[in-house]
Amino acid sequence: MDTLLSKCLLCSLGCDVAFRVKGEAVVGPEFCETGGSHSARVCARGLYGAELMTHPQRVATPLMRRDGVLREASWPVAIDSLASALKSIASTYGPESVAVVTEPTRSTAELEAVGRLARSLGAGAVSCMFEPQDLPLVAHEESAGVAAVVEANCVIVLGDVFFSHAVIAKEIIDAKYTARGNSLFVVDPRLSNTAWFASEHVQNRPGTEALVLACVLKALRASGKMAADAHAWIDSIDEKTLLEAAGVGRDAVARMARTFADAGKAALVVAPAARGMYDVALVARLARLVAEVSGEQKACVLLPSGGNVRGARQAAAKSDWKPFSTLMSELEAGKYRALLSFGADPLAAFPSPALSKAISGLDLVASVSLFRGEFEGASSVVLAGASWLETDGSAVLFDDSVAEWKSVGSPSWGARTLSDVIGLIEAAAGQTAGRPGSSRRDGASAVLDPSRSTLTARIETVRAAAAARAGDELSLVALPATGHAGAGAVTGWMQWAQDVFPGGFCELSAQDAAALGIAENDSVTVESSTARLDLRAKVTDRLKPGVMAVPGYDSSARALFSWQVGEDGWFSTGPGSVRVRRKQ
Amino acid sequence: MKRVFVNIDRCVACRTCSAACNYSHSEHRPTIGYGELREDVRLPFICRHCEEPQCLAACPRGAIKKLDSGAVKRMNMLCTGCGSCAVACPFGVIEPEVKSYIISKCDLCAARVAEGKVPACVMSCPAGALTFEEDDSIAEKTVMIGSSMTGRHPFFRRV
Repeated sequence: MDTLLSKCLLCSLGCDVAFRVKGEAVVGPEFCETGGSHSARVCARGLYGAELMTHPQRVATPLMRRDGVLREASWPVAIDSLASALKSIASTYGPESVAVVTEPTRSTAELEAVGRLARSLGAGAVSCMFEPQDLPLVAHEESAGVAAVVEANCVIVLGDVFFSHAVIAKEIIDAKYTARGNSLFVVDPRLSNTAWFASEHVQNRPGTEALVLACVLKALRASGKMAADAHAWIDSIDEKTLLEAAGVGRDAVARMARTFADAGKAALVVAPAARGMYDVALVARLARLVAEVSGEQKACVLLPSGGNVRGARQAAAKSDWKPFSTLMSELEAGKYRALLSFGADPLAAFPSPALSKAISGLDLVASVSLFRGEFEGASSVVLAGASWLETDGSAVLFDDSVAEWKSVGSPSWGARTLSDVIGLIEAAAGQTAGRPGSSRRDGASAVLDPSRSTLTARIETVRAAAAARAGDELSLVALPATGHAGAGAVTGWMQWAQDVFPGGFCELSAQDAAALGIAENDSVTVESSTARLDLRAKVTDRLKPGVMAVPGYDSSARALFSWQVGEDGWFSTGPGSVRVRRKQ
Repeated sequence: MKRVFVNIDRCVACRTCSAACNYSHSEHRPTIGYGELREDVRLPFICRHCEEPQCLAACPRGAIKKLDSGAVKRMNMLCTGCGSCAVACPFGVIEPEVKSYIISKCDLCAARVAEGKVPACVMSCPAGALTFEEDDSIAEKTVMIGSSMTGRHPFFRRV
């Protein structure tokens, strides 16, 4: 029995994982005792990653829809049918009526191959489906590595990082416990497991992390911890109104700012959940600023949820991909006739009636996928794809380091790697390109310049949005998860996920539950502007009154959040707004 | 005897130990469950390998034995899956819901320990909450952690 080393791409940390292999078959995970980026430590998602290769529900052969049902087909038949459908759409509507989408749990080479295929088809759009918070988080900001957290005397965490990126728990807990006086601040509207560990939990109103960081900057300026002539715009911040909108005490923010600036070594970790934070780009910018202005040896760690977000961003920048938000708006506007998905499941990640309607109205929906997800339910051709583990590759991790890995085994059953599938489609349909795809700039290029007044305006926008919430509605935040219902949409298929991350519930504060006459385990109806769901109530003291939490990894619960496309081309999300009542 | 020691102060409830256990013993469900005290404290439930095991006393087939090393081991060939040990265990760490004739029971990863490695759950813990140590050191630490926990985290006073 051999042990093969690989990488986990289910979150951006890119941990080393090892697998026991007997002949061609993967028997199970092994622990890499050789060291590596995080030594032997892998979270439950990484350990169960082996299931991806041997999962009984994997799509084993190509499927084609006949009489409304997906039936098995051979590779040549499926590829020919896909190619001829693409050709007929290209000749009728022009090749630019084809859109191509992929997702970031892929090696950089595979993402680039998708871009090449789109070019050779002359496709009107090619895009990568990120979680809403991922692209704004990494687009213009550099991140420090995990080493910044080790030996830090003060760590500030934004988000529930022990849930979303469990592997850096040891570094953060070590940072808190190794020396007397070390401190851990957690800014989160929910008393998460991460917040439970904090020496001080700053429980803000949902979505107002940007306001808290702006107040930290102001506190740094007021206490003389940063140069008086730098970033003059900070003086114009109205601390009182921001704190009021964020629901945070002035002393708590001042203490956090002072401790961070006075610590010999400190780190600020930003790990937002998939929904529930206003203006993530602004949060990332302000987090970097806090680290920059508060002295030496201060670092900012930005943790997106997807595996190869930075690699996908690079691939996208190279060949002018469209932001996914733009592609979605254009799909809903009926600009395309065909959609090819390479692993992405937009219907699970961004469930909305408008998108479902747009996709079901297309002439051709084709997918290369591991599982029969929501998107495959709407596809006419499904090709059996492989995960990143079944091919050699490299990825760019959250701190811009490059991770390389070798294939653990050839794709299970009749599946093929993404590169192989792309080669087959290119060979069969590559000749259709009537003209090269028109070149479009990535709309997400509005750089946030800290010296200009843009930041003040955006902070004011967040404040206004936070302050404008309706009094009788509850703010909705999401429990985080990586690689689960989001971009990869793969871990949701594993049996363990249902045990470890159960769905179908919502958390309510005891005060709200009493006011609404709701008891633990009652069935409640939750209604937002976009969806209406029946969920099981969990009464908790983790939340302040007026706030409700649903699992962000539960695709149906995600439908409760609305989103718009912001000015800079990114998704503008933020906490949802819901009405809850006991089900009669 | 060496045991698996849980530092509740460090557990982040990520359940990786449960996953690791599942894969190391693919013939049965993981032997590590989870419990919550109110909802403030979560901790893995791991076999204590008791001095006087109630499961051993309860087993009608004599399928559970205490080895010289101190580990309490279930003999697969003798187990009929009657579930008596699961009922007898005062800590609720034996799961009766298993394949026919096999009860899931922690064996301290005997095969791994024989190779000089630590058990799979300890190896995998991302937060460093599980350690594999001698009894003596555990007795000291248990007291220390208990008091430091009460001092540091107000939640523990309420439980």
